[in-house]
Amino acid sequence: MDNPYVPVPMRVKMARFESDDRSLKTIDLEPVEGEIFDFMPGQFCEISILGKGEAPFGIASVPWEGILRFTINRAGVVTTAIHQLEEGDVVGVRGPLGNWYPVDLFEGKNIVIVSGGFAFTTLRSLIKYLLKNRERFGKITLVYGARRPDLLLYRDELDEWKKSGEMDMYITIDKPVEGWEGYVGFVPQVLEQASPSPENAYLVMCGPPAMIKFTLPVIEKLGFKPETVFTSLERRMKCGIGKCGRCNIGKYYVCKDGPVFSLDQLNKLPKEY
Amino acid sequence: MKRIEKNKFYEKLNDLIGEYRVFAPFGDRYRYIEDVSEIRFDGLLTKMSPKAHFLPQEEELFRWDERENIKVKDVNDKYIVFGMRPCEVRALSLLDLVFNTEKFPDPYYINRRKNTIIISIACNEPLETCFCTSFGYGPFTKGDADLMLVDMGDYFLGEGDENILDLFGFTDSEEDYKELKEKAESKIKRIEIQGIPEKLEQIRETDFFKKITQRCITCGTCTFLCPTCYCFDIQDRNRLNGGKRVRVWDSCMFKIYTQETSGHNPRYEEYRRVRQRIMHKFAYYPSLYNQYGCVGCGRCVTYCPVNFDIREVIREAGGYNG
Repeated sequence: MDNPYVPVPMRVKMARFESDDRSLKTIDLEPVEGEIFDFMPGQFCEISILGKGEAPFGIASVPWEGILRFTINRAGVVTTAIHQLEEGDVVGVRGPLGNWYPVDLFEGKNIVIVSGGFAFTTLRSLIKYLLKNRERFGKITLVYGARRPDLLLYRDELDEWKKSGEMDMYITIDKPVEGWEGYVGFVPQVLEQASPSPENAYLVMCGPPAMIKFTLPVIEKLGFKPETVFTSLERRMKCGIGKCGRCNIGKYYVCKDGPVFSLDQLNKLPKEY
Repeated sequence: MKRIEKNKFYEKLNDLIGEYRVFAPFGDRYRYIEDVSEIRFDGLLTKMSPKAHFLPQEEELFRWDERENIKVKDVNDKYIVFGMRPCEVRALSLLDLVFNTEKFPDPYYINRRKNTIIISIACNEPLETCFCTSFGYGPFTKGDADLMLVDMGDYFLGEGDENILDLFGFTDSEEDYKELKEKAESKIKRIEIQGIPEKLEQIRETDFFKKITQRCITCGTCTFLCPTCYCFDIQDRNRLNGGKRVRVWDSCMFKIYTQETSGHNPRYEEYRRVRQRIMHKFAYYPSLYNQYGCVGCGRCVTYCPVNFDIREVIREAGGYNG
C-alpha cells in the first residue's frame, strides 16, 4: 500500500527571491528520481523539511514544465526553513493533493481571473493551462493587483502574456509609483472598471481576505451567479488527506474536498475560513 | 450457542500472549499485558477507551537518519484486544469510514485493524450514562467483533468466528442470552435523535451554540476519552542523529488546533469549537456516512469536569426555537 504520509524527495532546481523585501521566495523542484507526477491547476502539495515539519502550498506550475513551482511567503517555522533553501538542496513533497479548478466546466466559456498579492500562484498554473489549450476557451480576462510592483509575481511572464494579446489584462498596484504604466487602484475598483460580462462566463478569484471581502459585492453587481464563481481556500492543515480533522468547513474538508469551492457551495457553509 | 469456563478461557488467552500482543483492561485504561493476572475491570467502562490500540496517542509515521534517509517501521505484530464493549466496537466501524478510504487509505490504522482479533464482552449491567440504544444497536451487539462474550458468572457464552471459538475450546451449549439482553436493553435511556442532523443545521447560526458553550471550558477531556474522536496533529521530533515524524492526538476543543500562522483563526471563539464537536458527530457524520458519529458510551458525560451533558444538549437542540 502506498504510504500517503511519506514525502518523496525532490531537489531544488531553482530558488530566487520574488520581491525586493525578500518576503516571497520562488522555488522550482524536480524529483530526485524519475518523472514528475501529473497534476491539475489548483492542486497543492505538502512540502516537508525534516525536523521542522510540513506545510501546504499551491502549485504554481503545470506538469509539462517538468518542475513543481511554489512561491512562498515567509511566515512561520517551515516557511522560514524553505526560504533558506538553495539550489541543489533536497526537500520532501507529498502530492498532488486536493481538487482543482473545474477546467472541463470552463470549456467554451469566457474566463475572468481576479487575484491579489501572492495568492496568484495557482492562478499562474491555471493561466498556463488555459493558454496551452487556448482554442478550447473564450475570452480570458485577468485582473491582478499588488501593493507595489515588486510584489506582483512572475512579472516577466505578465509582460509576455501582455505582448501575446491572448488575454485582456488589468494589472494594478495600490498607489502610484514612478515608472509604473499599468493601472493604479485596488482590485475591486479595477474589476469594476474592466467590467467583464457574466454572460457565458466563469470567474475565478484568489486573494487576501480583505480583497475578497470588497470584491464579492462587485462580482455580484456585475451579475455573476454564485455557482459561476470559484475560489481557492486556505486553512491550517496537517495530513492533507482528510484524516487529521482540522481543515473542515461544515462537512467538507478543504484538503480533500477543496481547496477549490464555488461561491454557491460556500454560501451554504458556516463562515469558518 | 457456545460456552467456555472462565478459567479455561483465561488460561488459553494467557497461552496466546507471545504469539499475540494482548491489549486488555487495566483499571482506568487498557494496556498490553504480559499475563492475564494483570487484567483489572474497574466497572463497566475504562476511562480511556481502547481506541488507543488502533490510534495510539503517539504513533511514529517514519524516522530518518543523519543522511535524511527515511524509514517506515515494519510492523508485523498480531494483536488481541480483549474486553471491548459493543459501543467501542461500533466506534471502530465509524473510524473505518475515515481511515479505510478508497483514496488515501491510512496504512498504520489499517495494519492494526487487520492484524487485531477483537474479543468483546456484552454489557449485562449498563450504566446510568449509557445511551447506546439511541443509535440502532445495543449492549449485546457483536458488530465488527470477531468474538463476543456474555458473562454468565463462572463461564462465558460466546458467539462469533468459528475458528476463534475452536481456538479457545468453546463447547456447544443449549443456553442463550435473550433474557439478559432484554433486561440490559430495558435499563438504557435512549435519547431522541430523530431529525437532529437537520435541526442542528437549521439552528447553526442562532444563539443556541453560544448558550450551551457557557457550560463548557473547552478543556478537551471529552475528545480524548471519546472512542470515535480521531483528530490528530503531526509533529517532528529531532534526535541527535536524525529524528522522527509522529502523529499525536489533538482536539477540536483547542484554539491552536485551527490557528493559522498569520494569526487568523476560523474557530477562534469557543462556541465555534463546541459547535464543531457537536455538529461533527450529529450533523456532518450523518450527512457524510449516514451514521451518527456518537456511540452513546457516556464517557464525555461521566468525566466532564463541569458536567456538560451531550444528552441534554441534543434534547435542548431538538426543542430549540430561538
